[in-house]
Amino acid sequence: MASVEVRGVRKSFGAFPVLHGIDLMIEPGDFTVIVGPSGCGKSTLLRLIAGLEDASGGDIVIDGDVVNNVAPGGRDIAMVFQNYALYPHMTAAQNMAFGLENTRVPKDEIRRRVAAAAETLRIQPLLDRKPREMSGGQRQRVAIGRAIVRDPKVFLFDEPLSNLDAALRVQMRIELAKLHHQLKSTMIYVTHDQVEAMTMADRIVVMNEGRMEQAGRPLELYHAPRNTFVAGFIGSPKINLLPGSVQAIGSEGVTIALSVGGTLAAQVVPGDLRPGNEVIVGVRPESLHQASGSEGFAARVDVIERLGNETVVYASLPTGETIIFQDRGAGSIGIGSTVRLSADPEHCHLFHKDGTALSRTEQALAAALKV
Amino acid sequence: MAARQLRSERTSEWLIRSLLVGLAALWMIPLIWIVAMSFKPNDVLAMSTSGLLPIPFTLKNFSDIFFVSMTPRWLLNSAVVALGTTALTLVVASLAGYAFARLDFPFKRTLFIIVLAGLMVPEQTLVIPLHAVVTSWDLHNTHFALMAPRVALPVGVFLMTQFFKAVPKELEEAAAIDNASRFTIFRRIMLPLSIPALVTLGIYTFLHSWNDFFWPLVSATNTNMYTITVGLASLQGNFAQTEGLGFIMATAVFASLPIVIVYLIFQRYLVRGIALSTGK
Repeated sequence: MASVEVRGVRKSFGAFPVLHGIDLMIEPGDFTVIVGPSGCGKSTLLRLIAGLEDASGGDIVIDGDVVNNVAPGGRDIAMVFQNYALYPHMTAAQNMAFGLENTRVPKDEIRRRVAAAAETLRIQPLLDRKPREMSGGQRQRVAIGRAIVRDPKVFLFDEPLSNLDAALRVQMRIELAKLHHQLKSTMIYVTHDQVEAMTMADRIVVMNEGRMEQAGRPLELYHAPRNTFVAGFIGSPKINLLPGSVQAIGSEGVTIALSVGGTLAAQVVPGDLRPGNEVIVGVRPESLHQASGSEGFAARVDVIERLGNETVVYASLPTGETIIFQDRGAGSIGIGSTVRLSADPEHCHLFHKDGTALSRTEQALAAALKV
Repeated sequence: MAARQLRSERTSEWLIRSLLVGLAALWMIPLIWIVAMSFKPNDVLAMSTSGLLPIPFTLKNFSDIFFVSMTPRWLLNSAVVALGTTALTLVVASLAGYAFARLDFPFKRTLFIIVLAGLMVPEQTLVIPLHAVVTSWDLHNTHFALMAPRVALPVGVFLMTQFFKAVPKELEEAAAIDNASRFTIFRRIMLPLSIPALVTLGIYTFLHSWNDFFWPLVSATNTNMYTITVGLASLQGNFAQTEGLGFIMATAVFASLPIVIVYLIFQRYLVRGIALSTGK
């Protein structure tokens, strides 16, 4: 178990900057998930921590030691790759033993550690098989086994589940969470899938265009996103972002006149907000409900997804944008019908025009966490 | 309609097969003829060389190879040169190919272009400079002189470079994280993965070296240092056709045997290797 610190790390490929100065502290034993869209620099950051790329600036610190000039093998880390990267000409057991052989661990000890890892991952029957004789899930288990036999200070995972089918991905997600609970090691996991991030992480780091947008506990990011990017990236279905202008500021919160017509209120700390300021209201699909009378705003239903445990409705606003909400009326609405939607002030987020969030009131956060 | 189409397809398939069999037979006739003549007595061949069957039959031509001629010595020379060239070529081509594919060093692209340019230089244009260099080092009539000019084979470097480029980089990165040194990565990961390419290159080099005639003709002037190709040519005196044609044919058959055996054993690797080198 070791801490990992990234201090002002920058990386450019030629003249093209990929990371613009990342500062990140990962506590010993934390399961940290770095999440972001393709090309945001998350894999590059992981490769810098692994030593597979050299930083253009800044420091990588593992367990208190600056490792900028230490080769990958000297950093006492293990990495699981997206395409498993198992050595094709070796059996599973040989794959797992390779790293230990390079550090001159005695043969008996290698055998013992491989057997123990195989038992943990339930891959004993696969030990004599070569990678081509295994399924994707089995290969992924062996790749994880290759990492855990070395008992490293830090585990790095680079989108390890993205090549698996949906069912296997869910199963492996659970197994990885269990493994972390069992090993209590520091793990850094890169993914573009926010569901993986939300379900496995102790702490999530959201990245965008080479910058760290926000880091925090999963529910913190969900309920108190720092900006519209984080709000949009965390949560499925996506948050609805509705532009408008401040109509009134009162003790109950801020009332916004929406561009699509109608109003919504948000319980936020108004700060220097003034009536007439342009803002963006964020409402999660589960926070929208059908309204009566002139409350909220109108939308026309386009698509209804009945998933069994929930019904997700996609509707068009008069401006042409799509709004998503959950229908709790047990199929009372139909395609083509017009509905009025509203949300309670304690469930609404408010962002400045530039996308930065206004702090939600403690009351609003408490209400959100209760849900 | 469908039946007529099927019949037409069968007819064209039959025609193509017949054509291929005809071409194969045409190609095979000289080989069968050589084998037939190698089993015929020389005095019979002095009167007529026609006929594809070895009648009358004799093994004397083959026994003469061992007891009368220098053929065993030339075969040994060919074996030493071909095996040595193959082994050295594999070492040089795999190391150079790995360096070109994976390492960063100054003038890498320029050097690679020079290697590729080597593919375009006709062998004959190099013989005089090679002869001058080997003469100045006083190395003619040695196995080393027969092997050395053939070792840095541009096509081998090119083949291995292309092969190593196709190996996923993650394998090397995984090995680097597994604390493997650069040489361990090369020896324990890259080399075992490149066996199909190495076998292809090995067969190609062996065949090329075994059949090489021009350079050994220049370098090996001592009959003891002849390779089998030069030795065979030296047997063809002005009266060969009348005096020892059966013996020459027996020597040719005997000299071809190692090549045939190598090809029969490794032909599946040869095909696979060529497929690998044309893209994955």
